[in-house]
Amino acid sequence: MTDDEILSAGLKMMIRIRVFEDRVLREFAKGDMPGFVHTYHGAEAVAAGVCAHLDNADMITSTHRGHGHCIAKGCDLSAMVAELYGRETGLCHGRGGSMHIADFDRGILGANAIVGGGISLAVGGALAAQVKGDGRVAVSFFGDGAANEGIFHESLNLAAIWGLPVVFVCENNGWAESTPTSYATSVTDIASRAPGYGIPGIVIDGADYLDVFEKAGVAIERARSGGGPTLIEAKITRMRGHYVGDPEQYRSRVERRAARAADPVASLGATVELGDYLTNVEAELDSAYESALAAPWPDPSTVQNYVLAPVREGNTLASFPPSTVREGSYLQGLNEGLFEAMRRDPSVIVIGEDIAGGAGLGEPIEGAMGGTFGVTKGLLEEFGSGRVRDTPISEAGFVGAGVGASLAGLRPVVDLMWASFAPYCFDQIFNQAAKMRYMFGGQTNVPMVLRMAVGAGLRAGGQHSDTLYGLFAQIPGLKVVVPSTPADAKGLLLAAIADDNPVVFLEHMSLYRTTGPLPAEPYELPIGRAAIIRAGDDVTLIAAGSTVSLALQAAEQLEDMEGVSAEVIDLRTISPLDVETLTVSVARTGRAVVIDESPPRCGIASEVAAVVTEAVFDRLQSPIARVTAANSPVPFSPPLEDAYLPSVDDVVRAAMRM
Amino acid sequence: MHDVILPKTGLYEDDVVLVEWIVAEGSRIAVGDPIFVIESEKVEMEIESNVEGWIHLAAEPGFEAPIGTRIAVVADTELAYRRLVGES
Repeated sequence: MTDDEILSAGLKMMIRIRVFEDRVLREFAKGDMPGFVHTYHGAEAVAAGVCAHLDNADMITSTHRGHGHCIAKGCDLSAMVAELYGRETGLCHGRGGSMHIADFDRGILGANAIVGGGISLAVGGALAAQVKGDGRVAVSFFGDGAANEGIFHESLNLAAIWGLPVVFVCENNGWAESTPTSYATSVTDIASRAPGYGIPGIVIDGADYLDVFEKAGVAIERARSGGGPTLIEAKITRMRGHYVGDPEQYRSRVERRAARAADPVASLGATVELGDYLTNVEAELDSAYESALAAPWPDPSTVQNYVLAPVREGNTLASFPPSTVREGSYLQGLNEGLFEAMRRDPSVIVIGEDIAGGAGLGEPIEGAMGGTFGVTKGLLEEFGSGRVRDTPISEAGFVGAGVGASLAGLRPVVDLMWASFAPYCFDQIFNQAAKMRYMFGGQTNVPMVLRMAVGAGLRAGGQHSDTLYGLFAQIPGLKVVVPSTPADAKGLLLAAIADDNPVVFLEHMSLYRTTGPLPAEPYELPIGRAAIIRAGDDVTLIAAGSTVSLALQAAEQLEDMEGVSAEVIDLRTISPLDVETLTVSVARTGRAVVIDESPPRCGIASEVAAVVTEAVFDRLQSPIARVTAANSPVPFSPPLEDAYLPSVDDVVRAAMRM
Repeated sequence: MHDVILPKTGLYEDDVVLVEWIVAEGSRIAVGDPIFVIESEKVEMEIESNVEGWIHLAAEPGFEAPIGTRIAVVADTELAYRRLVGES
């Protein structure tokens, strides 16, 4: 293309964005557009100049101010407008809105309203491209405010050490909402932070289309050809307020006027012949608004659609009876599950701290453990560092990368080591993994497994011993699995990896070395199904993970000492709960004790008690009892930790009070 | 002819108060000119015109009404404005 042709195509895209946003200003004021919107005025040349180099399969992540990115990546305006109005015909069927537009057919992995939220997702998209070797590139657009978020730093570091095909595009408009960048950011140029991560950082004039086009082209080509990431900082002017209707009290009328006048579209527009392009875009928008406003609302009865992907049929134990059952450990069950999943499906990767024993991208280290507990031992030797990677201690960065990779064609198994570290990456779990499928109207699945060790009793102290069952189970969009035996660990892990949803897989530390029957073949156990592991008539003891053995011991004592016949249910999955198995059992026994290793408030014990009570209240002979951990952090000192944990005696006493 | 309305300016959809006119009856306005001040969500803010032309004011300061209520019209030409206000 000649310079004139490049310029003409660029200006047309900029005008397409501007006309769209001007119309948003006018239509929003009328009051029919729900919520709030943020427009892309002043940044048009950035989206247009960057996306001009991207193919349909290339990926972008966008922001709350993301209309321009989506338009430049090829979104249909009509489906965008319908989404702004929350209609069923919108790109995300009205589940997302302006701040959560996504179009997976065009490589748009979603606009993210969490500042910096898309950065690690783009790193994950680039990881998927690298593992698959398919030549795709990922671009993350974000604002200057995001450059002060931890996730920015973790993501740049991760992308740099792995040499990923990703380009970070920081649109520096001088404001993070109403706080000036000059105050909030320690450096004048955000690009100057790039050398801190060993990658190139360049400043460009984001109002100059040709400057953007040229420099972005170099960075994208560099990424595509294996040269690794680049940080581009585009200096732009935020022509309008933070959101439409922002009173902009933080800048004077004179400053506002100057901002409105710093218009990259107008300054370029004078130089290029456009024909009837402008009129055509306006006509396209007339039709888009007309169809959006006439489009149906989503049916309120579908409010829970898209939360979870449907379950796929697997090789369950029932349909695949194991022929070779031998004794094995919980750890071995997990290890065999990982091996089998990776052999069956080349899209399965395993990432996490120390999981390759410290080998990084290098050769396996003789005798290396494979994770803190040894669960991933041997994977690197068989599958190589493409698919089995140590990560830095960078939980938000690599969990976010796992989420992004799952959006881009991989099935990552991410090892977080300890559940107590999950709060460090709560955004990536809560706002990203759990919400992506729903907010984007079912356009994508998030097939990832987040493995973590849970549990007290090993004198590991307050920040290495949490279970967090209730915390995870409360989040719609996640499945939460808690295996209690070696056979369950293997079958549930294989099911979790085959599941198309984000599965939080909680492995109890006290169980890793326990042994039991372990089938040699691969098999899946159904997620969402509890197991009755001891039959009884007088009381139902409901447990999960490590408390299953407490329940079994309590059942023996009740039988031997009191002549009470206790049924024991192993929940196996705490989200979704197998309400049917619970209610059928409790309806028959009339009594139940729920044993939970998490603190008592808003926990699984409370949830089970409430759900079962609602279902079979008239069959209960006594209120359901909860036996939980203490309402405290996990203490260190052995007598205190023992007091913290639920005990067999607690369970027996609770049952005998009924 | 373009309607000038009390605009939605944020998340809330409460009634909006016209606090004052920045422009005078019949004045010529351009796109981007601040034309009136509203109070919404306890904050006063200037509203800029998104059209150009001659403005005819149709509400007094202190007027409070729902989002979308017309408070002025803008005529494309001076002639159209005169016809609008009944001048020949």
